[in-house]
Amino acid sequence: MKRKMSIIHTLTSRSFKANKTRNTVAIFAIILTTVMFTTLFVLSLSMIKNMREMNFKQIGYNSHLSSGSITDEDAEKIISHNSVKDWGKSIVIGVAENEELNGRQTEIRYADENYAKSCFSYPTTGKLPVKENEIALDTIVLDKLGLPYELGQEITLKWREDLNSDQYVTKTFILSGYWEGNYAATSSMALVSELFVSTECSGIDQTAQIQNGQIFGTVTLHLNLKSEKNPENSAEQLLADTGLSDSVSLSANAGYDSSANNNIIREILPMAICMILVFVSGYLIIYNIFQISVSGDIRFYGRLKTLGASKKQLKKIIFGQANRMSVIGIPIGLIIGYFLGAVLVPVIITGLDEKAKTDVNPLIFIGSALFAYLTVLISCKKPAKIAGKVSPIEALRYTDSGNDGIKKMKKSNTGASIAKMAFANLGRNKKRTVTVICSLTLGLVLLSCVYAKTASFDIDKYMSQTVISDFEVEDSSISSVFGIYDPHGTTISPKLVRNIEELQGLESTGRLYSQVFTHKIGESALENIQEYYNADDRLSYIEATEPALAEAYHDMIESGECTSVLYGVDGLILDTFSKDGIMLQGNFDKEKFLAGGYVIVEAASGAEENEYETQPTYSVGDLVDLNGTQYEVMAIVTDISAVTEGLNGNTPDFLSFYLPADTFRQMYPDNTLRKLFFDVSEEYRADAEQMLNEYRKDEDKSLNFTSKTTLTEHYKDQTRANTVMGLAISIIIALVGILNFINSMVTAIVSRQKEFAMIQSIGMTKRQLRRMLIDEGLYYAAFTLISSYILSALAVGIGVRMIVANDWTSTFRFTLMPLTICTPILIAFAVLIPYICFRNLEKQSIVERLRAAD
Amino acid sequence: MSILSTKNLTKQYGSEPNIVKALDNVSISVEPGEFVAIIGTSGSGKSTLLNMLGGLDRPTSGSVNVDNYELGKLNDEDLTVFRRQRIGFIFQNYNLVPVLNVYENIVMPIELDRKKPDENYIKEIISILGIEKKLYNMPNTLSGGQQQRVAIARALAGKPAIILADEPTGNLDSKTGDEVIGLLKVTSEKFNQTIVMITHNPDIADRADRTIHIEDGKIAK
Repeated sequence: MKRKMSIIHTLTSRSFKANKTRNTVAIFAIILTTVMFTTLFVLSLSMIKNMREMNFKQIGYNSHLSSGSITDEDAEKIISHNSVKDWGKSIVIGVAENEELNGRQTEIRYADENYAKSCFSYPTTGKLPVKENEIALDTIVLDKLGLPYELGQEITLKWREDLNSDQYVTKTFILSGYWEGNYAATSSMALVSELFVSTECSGIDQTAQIQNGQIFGTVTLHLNLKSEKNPENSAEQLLADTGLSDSVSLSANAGYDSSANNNIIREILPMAICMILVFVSGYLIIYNIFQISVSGDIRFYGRLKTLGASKKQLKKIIFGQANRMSVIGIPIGLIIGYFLGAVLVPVIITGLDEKAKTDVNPLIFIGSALFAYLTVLISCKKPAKIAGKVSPIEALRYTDSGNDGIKKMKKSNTGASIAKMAFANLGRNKKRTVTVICSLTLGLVLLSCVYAKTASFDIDKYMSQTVISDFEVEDSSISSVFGIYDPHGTTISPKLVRNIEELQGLESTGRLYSQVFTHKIGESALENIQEYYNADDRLSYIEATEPALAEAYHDMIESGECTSVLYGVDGLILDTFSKDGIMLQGNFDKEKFLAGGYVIVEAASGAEENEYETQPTYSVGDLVDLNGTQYEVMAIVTDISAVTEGLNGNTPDFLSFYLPADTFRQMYPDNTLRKLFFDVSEEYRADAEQMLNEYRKDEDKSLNFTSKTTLTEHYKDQTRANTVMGLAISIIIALVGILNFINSMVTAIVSRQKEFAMIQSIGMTKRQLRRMLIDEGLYYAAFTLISSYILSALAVGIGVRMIVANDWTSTFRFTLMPLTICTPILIAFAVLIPYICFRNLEKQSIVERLRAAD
Repeated sequence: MSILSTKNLTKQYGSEPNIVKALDNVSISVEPGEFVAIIGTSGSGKSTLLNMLGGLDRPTSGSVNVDNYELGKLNDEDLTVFRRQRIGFIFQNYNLVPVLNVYENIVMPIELDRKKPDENYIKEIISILGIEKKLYNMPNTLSGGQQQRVAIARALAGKPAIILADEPTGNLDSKTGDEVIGLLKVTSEKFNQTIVMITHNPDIADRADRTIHIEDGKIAK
């Protein structure tokens, strides 16, 4: 037997079924809203997950605590503490110093399973080494060594057991396992077996090793605590309990730090803003749909009320229908939204060095469903209230227009023009007109902002801060393990230089040499330097943070000598001197500089904020003695990181000088190139890159080069994310607006069938009626466009300008291009929609329509 | 002891200076089981009076007392509940709910009140009104006379103290109208119900126990 439904339930279900068109539109709107929410949730949660994971990967491990170098004995004490949940242990051998591995620190060590997993170094193919000659590596190291990903092959590594000696140990291992390298971390692991470590390190005095600052044979630990909260305090407590506070350092994983979480919150803030916008646009359409539907059915509700339905019961009918729509719309939206999110995740979350993972979290579905449902409920609140409050008598004469602000009189004697009638019709339900216009405007304004933000991104500005030429090659010592530049390095060999010079389309080159030397500081410079460091408490700051630098400073002041760097530069490097923001004082004259007798000095990095401040170096016009020759200071330039990157030596250098490369060569004829910059015309850039790749493969695996094209693409990848996201959201919101417009137009026309028939019966022609409807559509379009242009101009001119101002990669440009593009589209819609609606209307005769009441 | 009475009932529409007095100091009284017809020309205020009696509209001044309830003292929600429990309405345009079938329409007010319909009683009404065969039809498949019978059944179903009928025969031809009035009379006698009916047809008014004339918002004797 069929269970008998309550009458309210029956009414809800029947009136739901009776409103097929409205339901379709409303369900579609709910689906769109849910899709947007779900996509945003998938993205935010995936972003949180990926960022957390990336934090850990950058840090290099994901356990709560890690120890510094300790002895076995101390390790035992720590791991037996009761706050430790589990632990991983590792014994260090050293750092691989094979030349091919320059630029990638490769730590040779034994690690147990926990430790390997904690530092993302557990073999995915093969296994951890067991036999003495086995080793496990990541793909980055294998790539650097130029080896295929094959188990069982021979791997030869060399390292130093004593970091203070020049004695290398070389050993050949067999590859027992490998895993995907973690590019986010600065170092790779080369894992050897416990057996190897125990033979290698037998008889090592760990305590002595640690005291001497050596790492060979020492233990490091990764610990997971029972409680994730406040690992720093737990670490201190643990050390205090075991009595190791003085001898052992135990550091908390910064990935669990709250500041890391704040960073994540900042990243997902735009998502939150998008969610609010989605909510607003969802509200605008669902509210409108229900409002229209309730007004249309107001007699129905009035009748129910006459027959004794209470306010609560009437509201129940409205919400019941909304629930049914939600039950259909939300799950569909969830599914579509999830897949959309899954597709967008790898596009939007970039900069991870690997494909982002989509988070599968029940929270996504619960959250999105909740948000979407909440939107529906809030949207229905007002219409439900209208239905509930309907007075039985008034329902009978209710016309679908607001009661407030109805004109009592209309002074006009110009007659009834069609355009005027159309305009007056818009005013019949001001709230709805406003809702539709808001809904459309929201999408358009958002689109304008997203576009303006994207358009203001200035790749050249970004690139000029990062690179100064299309390509640069550098001596491999700059990116070697210990990073100190070797002025006699061999990476930029005569053959490489020849290859570059023979490149087709080569436009210009720039040579960079450098040499560290001890400079006897001139009077004026010494004064300048002291003035600079005494200002703004710089000296006390340095003393507190960098004691070694402070010591060097005091030595310099006392002795009047300092470690300095002399650069030899020519070609395009000189051109960068004359670029904006590089030259701090003086005027740079390339011809004069190359002719000789002049030197350019570099200012302290960071000092450029206040350009009139005395720089800690010579002043323009001073004479400088360099290796026995006098040079006049022509200009002061700021630090150009593309030129100066890399360590020059172990002692801090205070002054930097630039001389023409040829002058430099005469002083230091044996020095080789530090860097070689070159520009290639666009069509030959791919060839140039190929040449460099081949050279690296065939001649010198340690070659490091930077290509502007690659960097540009890489950066564009990263910024594409926000653009795609922003455009997708604004297009969906605009779509919701158009749906809202269509719905309002269609229902307005359908509900006025009788009225139209009446107007026609007293003499309006079909053409005139159609004209009136199209005019109404055009008014909508006009209002939308006017408000969109005004609001977009404000939003772009003020909001986007402010956002862009803080971004050094952008140059603000005022543009309303998307609006210009949308203008004809919107107008076309405004004409087409009434036109199509009218064609459906035409099918019935006037008499039929006049009779069609109720 | 009257079941329905009004005292100095006044209803004004509009505001100064365009006041329209739809009802002006109307005092009437109806005894239980009485069948009263209110007649008057259109615009005389008879519909306004009926709306006041049914609690659909509130008086400007004066009071309405139905079944010992002072309607002016009830709030909107209470008035709604009062209406569905004590009053059965019959309208000129039937006011059936288009999405419900005949049976559902009949029991709707009872169910709105979350009560169980008295099935035997309803069966009896249905058979007296001769709509047994149409129980599962939707309203739009019925003729006017049939629809009005359903409306009568609906008005009677909740065993209300009083039935208010607003031109129940207004949309019907005279033969069907006669039938409907006959049925109304038969049922009211059988179930001892009070009926207040508006009409502008003197022939129909003649079949009532008593007639009240309203002109210009006042009782015309």
